[in-house]
Amino acid sequence: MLRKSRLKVQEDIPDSSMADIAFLLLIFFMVTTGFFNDKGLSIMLPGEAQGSAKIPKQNLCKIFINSAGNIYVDDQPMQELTTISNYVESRMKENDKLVVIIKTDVNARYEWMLSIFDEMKKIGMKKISLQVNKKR
Amino acid sequence: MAVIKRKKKSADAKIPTASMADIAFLLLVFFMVTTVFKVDSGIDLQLPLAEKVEKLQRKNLAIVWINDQGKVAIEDKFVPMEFVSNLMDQKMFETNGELIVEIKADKTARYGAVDAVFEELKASGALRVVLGANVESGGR
Repeated sequence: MLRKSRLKVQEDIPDSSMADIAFLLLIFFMVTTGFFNDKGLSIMLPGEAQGSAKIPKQNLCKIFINSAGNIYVDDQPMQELTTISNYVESRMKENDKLVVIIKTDVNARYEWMLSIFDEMKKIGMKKISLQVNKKR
Repeated sequence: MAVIKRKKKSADAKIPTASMADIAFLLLVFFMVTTVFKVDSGIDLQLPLAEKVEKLQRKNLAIVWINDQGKVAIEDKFVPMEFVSNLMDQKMFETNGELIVEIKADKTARYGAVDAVFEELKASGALRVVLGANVESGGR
């Protein structure tokens, strides 16, 4: 008698639905998870206090982007990004104090400026000055 | 008949499901640990392409969104350009001056809008800036 009643009391925790619950939560977290992988080109803005130091003209390389997307490097029109980077790279080899000025028209597309900036990063140019042409 | 039935019973194999819950929980824990709920879902825009990009850290990051019309959004709210420096002042304080600002601008945005944001950032002293871009698919 005793043995029989003991056997009856023994019960299992139902775990057949455990996997279902786990998968439900799993799917919830998978759907809500957003992996953060933003990428970008880093720049350091000049501080307000920093005075504008005069740079000799021979150390400057001016790149001008107008509102139509035409690019002028040292007042010569250049269209291909590769020719621009080749030109700047050759000037960089001649002069290690070279500073590149990217002057962009306010109505130019951001994309154009960024692609030039990217080219400058690619050839290892660190000294880049961003300017804007506000004149109409 | 009886013999055949017996044979069928012995061949009856089951897929072991006992470890299923363990596997599910393992994946669950992984996703729970890696989940960071998005606070800033952003606005609809197309980032420009670039090749020489660096990966960004989420720490101390503020994102300034600029859409194709040059409108600025911070934390899912459009803000007037003049308020950007105020908001960045606050963020600079919150991050103890170690703020990194990511500018996510649409590729067709006017450069003038991006420059105006630069000026606002300069005014609040947030000088570490990253220009958000997507990786060029061909050039890698």
